[in-house]
Amino acid sequence: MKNNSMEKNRPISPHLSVYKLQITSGLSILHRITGAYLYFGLVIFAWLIFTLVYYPDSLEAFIVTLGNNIFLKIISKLMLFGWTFALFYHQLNGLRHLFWDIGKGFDLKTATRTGWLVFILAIMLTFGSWFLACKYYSAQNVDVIPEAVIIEENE
Amino acid sequence: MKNNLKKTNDASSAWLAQRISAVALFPLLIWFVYFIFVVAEYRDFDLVISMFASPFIVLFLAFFINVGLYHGYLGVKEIIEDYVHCQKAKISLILMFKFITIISAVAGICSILVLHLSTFNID
Repeated sequence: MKNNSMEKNRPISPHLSVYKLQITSGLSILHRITGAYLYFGLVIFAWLIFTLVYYPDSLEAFIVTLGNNIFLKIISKLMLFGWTFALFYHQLNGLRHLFWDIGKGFDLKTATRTGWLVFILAIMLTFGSWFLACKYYSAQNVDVIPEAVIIEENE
Repeated sequence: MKNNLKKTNDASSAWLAQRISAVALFPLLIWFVYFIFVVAEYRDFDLVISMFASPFIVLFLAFFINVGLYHGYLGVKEIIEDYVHCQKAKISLILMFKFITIISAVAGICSILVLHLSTFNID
């Protein structure tokens, strides 16, 4: 406790500059980045529901603006795509982290293998979900009656 | 010494809270993806709002937003603690994110509740 200057000047982790980027460390950093991005998205999502309740007209106008401006459209779609990837990646890698917490999958070979598995699986899930969503979107224009309409009619 | 012990205790309880919220979020996130798919199908605000008649959707969504924001706050706090070394900046940043988290959670919960109540038939 006495030697205050030593305590202040000691090297502080993470020592990012001395490491070569490997798959394991790269994915670990990506876990943090996606986590922060998911937090940002969740805050937006909460306020989106808030806007849906209290300012529905503004939200509708905002959506129309997004649809009309090609630049904003691309940016918002890219952000949403990134969020989808972040969601799947963070969830799968989080599972990996939970397994590490109970002491499983620690050796380098397994860690590398599960790392690649998680990364590829997340990319596949992202593209798969967007493919499905686009299919829904195009099917909507043809002839799909949403469930809620049927319920209302029955009442 | 006592102070140091308290610090470690705080850190380990934050660690545990992060894991517990992670475990809770795992099934909730799967449900959330499904929920978004259903929302994407309804391209009309009134249809989306009619979904909030279900108490399960309201509960799940409220739970998801709160646990998610809590988990996110713990993560962001950890990131700030790791990368921001100036004590004053660190404390004010953490405080700012605490504020953002709480106000977003309250806004989310209140809005979901209002949506749920708006689906009641009052007549």
